[in-house]
Amino acid sequence: MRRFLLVDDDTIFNFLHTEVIKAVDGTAQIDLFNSSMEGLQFLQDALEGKHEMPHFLFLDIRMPEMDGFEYLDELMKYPLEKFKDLRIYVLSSSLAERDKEKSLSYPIVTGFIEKTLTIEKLKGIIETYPR
Amino acid sequence: MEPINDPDKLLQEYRELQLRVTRFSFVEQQLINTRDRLDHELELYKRLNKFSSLALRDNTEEDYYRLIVESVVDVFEVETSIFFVEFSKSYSHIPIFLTEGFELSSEESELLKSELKEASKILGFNKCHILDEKNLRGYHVLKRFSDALFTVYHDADLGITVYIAGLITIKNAPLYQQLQTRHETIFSVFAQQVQALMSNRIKSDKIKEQIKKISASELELKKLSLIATKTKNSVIITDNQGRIDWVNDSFEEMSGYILEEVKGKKPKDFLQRQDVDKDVQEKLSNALKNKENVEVTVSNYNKAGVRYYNQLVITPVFDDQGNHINFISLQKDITSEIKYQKEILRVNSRFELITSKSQIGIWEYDPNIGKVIWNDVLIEQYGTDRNHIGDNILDFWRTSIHPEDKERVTSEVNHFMTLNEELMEQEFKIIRLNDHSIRSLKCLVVAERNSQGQLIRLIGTSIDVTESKEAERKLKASEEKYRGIIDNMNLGLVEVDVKGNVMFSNKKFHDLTLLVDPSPLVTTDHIEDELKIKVSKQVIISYRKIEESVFEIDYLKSPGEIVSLLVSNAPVFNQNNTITGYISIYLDITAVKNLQVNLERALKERDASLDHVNTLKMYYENIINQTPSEVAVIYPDLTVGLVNSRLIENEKYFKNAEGNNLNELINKNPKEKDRISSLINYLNDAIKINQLVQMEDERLDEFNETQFILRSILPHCNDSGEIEYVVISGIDITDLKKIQQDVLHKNDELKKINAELDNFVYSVSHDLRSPLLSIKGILSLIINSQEVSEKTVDYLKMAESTAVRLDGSIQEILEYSRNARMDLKPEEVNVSEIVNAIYEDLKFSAESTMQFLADIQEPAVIISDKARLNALLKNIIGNAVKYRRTTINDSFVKFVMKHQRNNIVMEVSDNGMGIAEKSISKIFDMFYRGTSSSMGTGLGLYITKEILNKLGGRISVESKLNEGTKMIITLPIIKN
Repeated sequence: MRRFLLVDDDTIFNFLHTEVIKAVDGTAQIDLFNSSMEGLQFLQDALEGKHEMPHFLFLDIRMPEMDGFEYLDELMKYPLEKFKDLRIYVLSSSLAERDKEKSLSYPIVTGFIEKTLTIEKLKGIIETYPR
Repeated sequence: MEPINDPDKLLQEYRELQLRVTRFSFVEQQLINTRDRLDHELELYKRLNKFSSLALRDNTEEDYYRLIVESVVDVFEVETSIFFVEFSKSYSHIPIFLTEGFELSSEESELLKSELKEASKILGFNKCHILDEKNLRGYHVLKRFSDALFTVYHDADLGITVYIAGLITIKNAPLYQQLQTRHETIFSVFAQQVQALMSNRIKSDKIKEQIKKISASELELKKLSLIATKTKNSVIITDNQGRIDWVNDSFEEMSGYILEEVKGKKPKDFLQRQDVDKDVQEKLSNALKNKENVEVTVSNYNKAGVRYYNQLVITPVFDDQGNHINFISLQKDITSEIKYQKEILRVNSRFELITSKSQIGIWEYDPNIGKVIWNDVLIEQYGTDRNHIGDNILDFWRTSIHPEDKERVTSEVNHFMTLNEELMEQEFKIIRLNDHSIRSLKCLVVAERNSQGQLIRLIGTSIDVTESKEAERKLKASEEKYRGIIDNMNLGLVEVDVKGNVMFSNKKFHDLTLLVDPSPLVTTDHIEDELKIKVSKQVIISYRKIEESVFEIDYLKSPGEIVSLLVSNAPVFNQNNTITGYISIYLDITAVKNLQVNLERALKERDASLDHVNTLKMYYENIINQTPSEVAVIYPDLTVGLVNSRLIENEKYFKNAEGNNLNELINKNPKEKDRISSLINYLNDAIKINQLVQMEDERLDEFNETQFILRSILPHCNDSGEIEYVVISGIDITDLKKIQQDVLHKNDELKKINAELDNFVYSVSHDLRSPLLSIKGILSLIINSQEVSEKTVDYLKMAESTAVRLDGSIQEILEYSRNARMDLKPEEVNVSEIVNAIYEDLKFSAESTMQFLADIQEPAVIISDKARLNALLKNIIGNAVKYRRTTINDSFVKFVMKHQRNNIVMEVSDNGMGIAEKSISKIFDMFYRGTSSSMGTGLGLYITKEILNKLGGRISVESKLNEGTKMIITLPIIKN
């Protein structure tokens, strides 16, 4: 069973992305967070073994309180090998090239996706993940 | 038997019987006698046998002789016996042996010996004789005996003569019995036995003696062989047939053969002497045959086949008896000596070769026998051959001499022979026999004299010098030729010897000096004649000034005509490097002198004009002082040349600085140290790179306000590129500086505003796009869900396309903003990748039948601004897709890229809607939209144009309505 973690302050996108994930994988476990702080707490708990690690993280950049880059900075405090089974994708509607470049400069980030996540894009992502 | 009745008959028979008995008894007696004789004889033989067995015992010589003497008495029952041996080589004196009781004085013994010898002469050798009184009567000693057995044996091999005699006197014979013939037989047997025994004895004595000698010589031999072994010369000992018995170590070393290999062989058979000289061979074999000493030189080959030379000495060896026993051969390796000899021969032959090649004739004359010998070269020089001249070389020679020279040559030779001189040189002509040409010969004659000064012989060399004579003549001719050249050349030439005698002068010299005969010059010290003085003076000067190589003289050529001459002297050396004279060269420089005068005049004129220049200089200096710039002229060694008044006014340290070094100014003005040092640094930089250098200088004015001065430092070069001086000019740029600082400040502010604007645009675009993208997402979710009716789907799609347009507008505005604000960022761009990515994106929005074509000329990678190029192509290709004709189903878009010399040309063509001709000029305007049905914002091509402005490119359009459009983009090539 695939586990997805969505962190985005925009509830509509969260809804949309949930629908897209469900359309691709009906059995997927999806954890949603509108607050990046809570989303971070969830992942930190997983990293500390309190519950299972998700397989995919879709992370927005522009969020209140803590933006996507700050979120990633927090994750970088953990050893890299902790992320070997987690695929992190940065999702953004930003057209700024610098956002894409900065996202990809994190070693734990797998890719940068322009919103919105479509069925085709998700299928492509899942295909590359080893079972 | 019948009785006999008749008495006569009976008597007769009786008598007859009696006679028979008598006869029988006689016979019987005879038989008894014979038996006795035989017994006696047997007895004699037995005695003889006993003698033999006794004699064979190892007795001394004397015992043996005594045994013989006694045995003669015993065996032959004689009274006395004599034994005497005579040796043909009378090296030993054996006394005569006599039986005991028969004593003789030494004189009588000698007499007896000679009597025996005498008897043997009469009776002969090797026979036994029985002698009676008659026979013995003639001898002084022997006559006292009545009968004798006598034999003399001679053995030539042993060299002995043996005398044996058995003697009887009638009166003294105890058992007298007349010697009978049977004695003779036995005696001869006895004599033979004696002889055999003697022979044995002597032989065995000889053997013993030899053994003794051999053992003595063995020791000798050991010593010899030790010497033979150790000697460096090789030694061979052969038997008397010349076969090898022994060789020493040196032989083995020299020849490479060891004794076992060569024993029994003859040396010549394996030392390969086939090339030995015949005479040597003969000498050697004769010596060997005659058993003589011989010494020869032979060449041998060792076992390895290498030739070596031997000095060979062979000595035959004889024993005491003069028998030839063996040869001893001594060999000395003289290979190196032979080599030297050969070298000498080679040098000799080379010398001969050289004399023949060098064409030196050689002759020899023996005045005592009048014999002359010529070598081949000499014969050739006279053009004849040996057969022709025969023995009368002297006559031939005399007739060959040219008649002009004949007398002289002959008398010279005769004279030379009478003098006590060793060497004579001669040169004369001959008439060569074969071609009758006249040849010149040069001869060198050497006289060889004995200690009394008498001439032994003359030896001479002869060289044909005809050709060199000819060459000499030619040289003279060419000298004549050069003489012509020298006479015609423009230089006067005169050669004098050390005394001043003119040896040679050319025509020009005479032309220059008008001296017809320059010989009066000789009398340097005694010139009295006025003319001579005048004429020769100058030349003499040149002669006196001989140590000066070049100088000028003014020469009174003729009254009123003075010429200037340039004289150059050079000494002439002979082979011994001593000066034999001088050569002077005269050049007329009168014209040059005149020029010089003119030049001097011109120089004076120039000096006058210099005054004018000075006036000008003052004028310019005035200007420089009046200029508002601060001007200084500095020399490359940092010496201050010129300072204008403005500079002194503003920079006090330049006051009175002219002629000082800038570094000195630092010491004088320590407060200004930093500024002057800085100026020096810039100055050095300018000198170093020989280019204009500018610097900004700061100082405080009288109001303590900062003043800025821009100083231009410009090196000035002369024609050959060397820096002559540096001009420093300074202008006050304080006001300019203030403006500049204002601008910089404003620029910073602008940058800040720009960044803020950038952020603002991004935030806005992001915040605008997010909800739009949400709407798009939701719309697509609904469209894809099964629960919506077709009509609703149409509405939704319309809504979606509106959202897409709005997103496009936002993106374009962002693009525009980005292009306007962002700096160019050239990098490597793969055009092929970009076009393919654009095609991939657009395929979704076009029909599947639309063709996307690309023709990109390699290299596909160019240098450009990737983001801008991407936006540009996306726009234009996007347009081609967007404005395709939906009425046809063979739509295409084609991208072509070509490399030109300075440009890259990209063409995007399609078969779409096309553009109306009147619209073409407007399509790049902001917010222009071609049709009311247009889906665009009116920004796309405007942004395209703006991007091209940034990239430095152009765009042109070819289009026809309803046929298609071709956009042609030209980009400059940017070097990385």
